[in-house]
Amino acid sequence: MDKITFINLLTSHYCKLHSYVLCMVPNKSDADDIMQETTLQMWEKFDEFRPGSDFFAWAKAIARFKIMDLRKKRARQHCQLDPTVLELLQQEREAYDDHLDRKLELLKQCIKKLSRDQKALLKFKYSEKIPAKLIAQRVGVPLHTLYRQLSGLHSMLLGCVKRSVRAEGGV
Amino acid sequence: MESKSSFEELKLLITEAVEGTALPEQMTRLNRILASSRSARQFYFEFIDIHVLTEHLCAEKLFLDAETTVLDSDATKHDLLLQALAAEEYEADTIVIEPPACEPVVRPVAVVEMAPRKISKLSLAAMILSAAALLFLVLFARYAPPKLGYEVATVTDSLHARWAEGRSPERGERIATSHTPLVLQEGFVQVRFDNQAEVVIEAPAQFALIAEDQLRLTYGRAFAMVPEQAIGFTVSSQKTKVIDLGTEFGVYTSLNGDIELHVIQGKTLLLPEYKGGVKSLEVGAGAAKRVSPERAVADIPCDKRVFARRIDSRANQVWRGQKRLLMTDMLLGGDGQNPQHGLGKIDLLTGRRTGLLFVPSEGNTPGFRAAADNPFVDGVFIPDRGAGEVVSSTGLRFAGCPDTSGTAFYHITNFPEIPSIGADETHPLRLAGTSDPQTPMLLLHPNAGITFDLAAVRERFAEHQITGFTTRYGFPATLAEKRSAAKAGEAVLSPESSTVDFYVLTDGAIRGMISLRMPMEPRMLEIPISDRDRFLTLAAADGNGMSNFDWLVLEAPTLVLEE
Repeated sequence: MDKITFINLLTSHYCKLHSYVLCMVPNKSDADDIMQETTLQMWEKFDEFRPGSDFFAWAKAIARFKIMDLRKKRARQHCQLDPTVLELLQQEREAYDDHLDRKLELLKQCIKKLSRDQKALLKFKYSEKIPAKLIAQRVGVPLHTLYRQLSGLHSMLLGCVKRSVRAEGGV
Repeated sequence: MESKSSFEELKLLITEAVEGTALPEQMTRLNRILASSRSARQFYFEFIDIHVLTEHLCAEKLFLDAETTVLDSDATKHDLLLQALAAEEYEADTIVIEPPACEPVVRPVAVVEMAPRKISKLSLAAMILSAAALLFLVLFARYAPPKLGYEVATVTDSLHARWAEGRSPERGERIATSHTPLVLQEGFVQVRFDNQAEVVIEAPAQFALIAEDQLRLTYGRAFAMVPEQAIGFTVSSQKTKVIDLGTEFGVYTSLNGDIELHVIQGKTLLLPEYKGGVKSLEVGAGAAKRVSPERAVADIPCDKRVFARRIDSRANQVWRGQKRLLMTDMLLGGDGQNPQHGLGKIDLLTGRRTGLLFVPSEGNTPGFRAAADNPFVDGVFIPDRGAGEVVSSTGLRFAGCPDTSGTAFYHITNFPEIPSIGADETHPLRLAGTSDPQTPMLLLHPNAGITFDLAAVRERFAEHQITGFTTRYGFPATLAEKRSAAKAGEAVLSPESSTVDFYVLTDGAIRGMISLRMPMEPRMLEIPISDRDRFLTLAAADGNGMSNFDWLVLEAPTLVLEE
């Protein structure tokens, strides 16, 4: 098994796969667990992967099993998407897979336009990985307020990226 | 009639769900919104995409560090966060969310019990494109089951190795994966894995190869040089792993369980195992860490000299990271760092590069000739007491210069073959025991000398200190064969043949003098050099006034530098 080839393929498709998993399992911790299990299983089965075939489709198929496993374990808990919603999302998701690389580049430029304090918030949350609850506690605001601002920040970045795409003539 | 609902609710629901804090009724609401509206699902996809992309981008510390000022106090952080939290939200697109068909059933709030995590969360500080690679490498190192009984490496060399009873691998022997450790009581062993990772282990050491790219070091010193194709090579020790990310690194495990990691080049991941899981630390070039038996991690100075990085049993040498400059490269005008240097000759009568091998009789007299167009060679000379004592451009004299014939025969060269003067034969410029035909060689046939300018070397390598000169020397391997095949009375067997006095001088003073006489085996020579030494001179004099078969061959004459 060629580790370097596997790493290159994994790196090229990692963001797409992560986004797919998080869409189907909108819980960061669970999605991270699924990504780890999926990555391990992809490596174990890498001998079965045909070079030149669609790595992402293969990875997604493995991830789907992991997602289903998790859903079975959590069936009695009310923290996941309904089966009908899941089916709709899986049907419609494919159209979004191909544009992530371009969005990443545009997002870099959009983040540069944020204010210093907005960048600081992103840094604490995603770079230094300080839990949201801890950030809220330290600053003395309710967690809900922090989430509102975080979601606002993401929304702002989404708007910026969409405008950039439109400016480029994309859909 | 549809009712417009701000996207506010949807994005907040998504955020709370992703963060794992959404209540059951919030998940119900999210499900309802997503089920009812295609545009809601579209927004959902895009919002999650941005969330993931932002997370990956911001995990790349350099990216965000470049964008933010240094946050050096809690107060600064606090103020910035408050400003961020008070910031106006940006107007974004509005989505249409269809109203629910009926009121949702209110369920009692239940505590959501999370299943115990099988794989611990890992903290990875990495470039965005490497996040996936690092995740994989860490998982692989932690969970990939060992495959035992497979040959995965070869012993490429050993030096003064003494093993404990039982297994004692020899050079060339293959080693299979096994849980049974090998115990090296003395000396060094060099092992090359099939993925081309090379490890030098220094006794006392106990180690085992437990996978095609994993070495377990119970105690001792191991230095790994890992090429790109072997990225992910792992050294595990006690309950700590070191994963290579394209680097050279050394691991030392003491008998009391302390583990030291010194990274010479590239990057590694250090993974001490804790009860709650594994924490990974990126350790880069020039950095070193110590992990105590209790898994406390501390910074320590990176010691670049403590590990044996290469061994050469043939030369009886252990290389611990000194810089080595090839003087054959300098002969040709290079700075000593190019092992692929070509071939050439320096003219003993002019100090310049020449196409000739034999020194003509015209002008063939003792004296020093400056090598004006060579940055590291001060000059060349034909030694002879009296007229041929000057060895440098500054007029330094050869103290104790021997009386010679005052005539040279061959220019100084690294050509691979020596034609014999007056005989229709050539001899490869190679010593007995030299297996690699690419090994650089220098011919120094009496009466000839060459002086290297150490001041120029110091200027070029300002961060280093010249500590010594080393070479392996002798007569060409084929000369012994010729002598063996010769009949009594032949010139090659005469007592005057193959007699050379080899001198090493610094600033004109003799530091080493060896009388070479056949038969002899090649030998090593090491001469220490101090900061006060300005010139290094190598000279060959005819030991008895005759020059038959006086081919002094210097194998890989090298200046050794340390930082």
